[in-house]
Amino acid sequence: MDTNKINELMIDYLADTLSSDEKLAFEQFLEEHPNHQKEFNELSSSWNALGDHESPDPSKEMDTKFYSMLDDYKEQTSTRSSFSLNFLFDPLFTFFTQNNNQWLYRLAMLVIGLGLGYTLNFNANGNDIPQLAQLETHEVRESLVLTLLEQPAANKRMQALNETNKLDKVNETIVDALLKTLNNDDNVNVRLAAIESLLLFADEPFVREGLVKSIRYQEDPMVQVTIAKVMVALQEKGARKELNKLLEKDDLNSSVREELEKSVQSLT
Amino acid sequence: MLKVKSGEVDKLGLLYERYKKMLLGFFFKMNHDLAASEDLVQNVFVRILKYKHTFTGSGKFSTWMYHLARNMYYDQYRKNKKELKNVAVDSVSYKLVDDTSIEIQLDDNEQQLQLKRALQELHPEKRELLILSRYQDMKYQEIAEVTGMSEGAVRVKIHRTLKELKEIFFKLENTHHGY
Repeated sequence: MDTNKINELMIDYLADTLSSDEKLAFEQFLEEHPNHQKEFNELSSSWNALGDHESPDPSKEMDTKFYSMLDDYKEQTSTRSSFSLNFLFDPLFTFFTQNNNQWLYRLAMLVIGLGLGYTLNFNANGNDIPQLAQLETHEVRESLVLTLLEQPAANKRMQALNETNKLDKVNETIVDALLKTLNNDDNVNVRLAAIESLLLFADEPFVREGLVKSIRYQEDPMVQVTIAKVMVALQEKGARKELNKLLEKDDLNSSVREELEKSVQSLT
Repeated sequence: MLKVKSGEVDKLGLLYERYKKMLLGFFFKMNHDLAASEDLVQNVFVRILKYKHTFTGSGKFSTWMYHLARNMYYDQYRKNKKELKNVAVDSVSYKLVDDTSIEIQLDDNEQQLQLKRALQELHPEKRELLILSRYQDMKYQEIAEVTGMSEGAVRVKIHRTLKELKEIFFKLENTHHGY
């Protein structure tokens, strides 16, 4: 056996790519050739000493950066695609209107619309949409929201609330995180955005209940007025008690007081 | 990946979740700088989006990804090397090999630490071969595809590198013990 072949076998043996027969044959060969055995032992000790070092765990910041990048990319792509549609429709519009044939333009749009509708419908039926993948995307977005809400930078927390708006349904963990933001966040804009996000899921009783309970924690006039208006819009009569409690505060801003009184009246 | 290529970019999230730790491990073992490694992982995925049209689907996604990853690493490595030449040593804030950080981050025994130092002493292309085969569990054929070498050349280089590693290790041991 030439040296190159022996060296290759040594490396294959270490990487555990030899069959059991090949392994046995090679072990036997090494036993019969002490000089190769010595060399193999040295290689083997270096190889084994490398160990199976654990990789570091990726930080939450790394995840956040990745998903922000992905969102930016999607936004850019959608802007580009809408531009390309304009690129297609604008000359059509010019052609038909220049020839005083606006009805032809409308007809052309109708045909294109029907064609697109048919194609999309056909694709939707013919394409076996993997529900599992959709579920995974949903879960990934949920964990992104939770991660972003914990970020020290207010713009990241705002981003979390934007992400929430893309969810079609929410679980209690997300709602709890949103309510926590509404009740404790240092930034007024973030708190206001949290109200907006919660409002999207206001048909869930536990969301409305959470909103009502959060009234008592609000000290900023803007937030107090917004949440009162939300209660009126939802016709959440259970909020009267909490709004009245807020009205009992001596240091309440006079304009806010006026707004709150109006709200309580509307809920009566 | 083919779905990402066809425009379903959301699917990149799934690939990211599957490979982020592995890639981070690869970069970290190459440069022992966690922050720089995380940036490199991010850049790999930016590049995946940028060059998604070049993925043919004929090979494994991970092979293609590592191909991009090592290009990314060497671009960074060359850039850093150039910067290191141009700036004073005391103003360097980012170093590819930071012995202090190795000491802080890894609390293994002294021998393990010495071995890691020995690994860092190797030329990056040699270190990379050991990392890919030993820690990333890649077959020699995959390493050959990623690095553009023949499978035979990969074996020969790993063989030589293991020998070199041992020599460096003993040299460091002797220096450490003042022989």
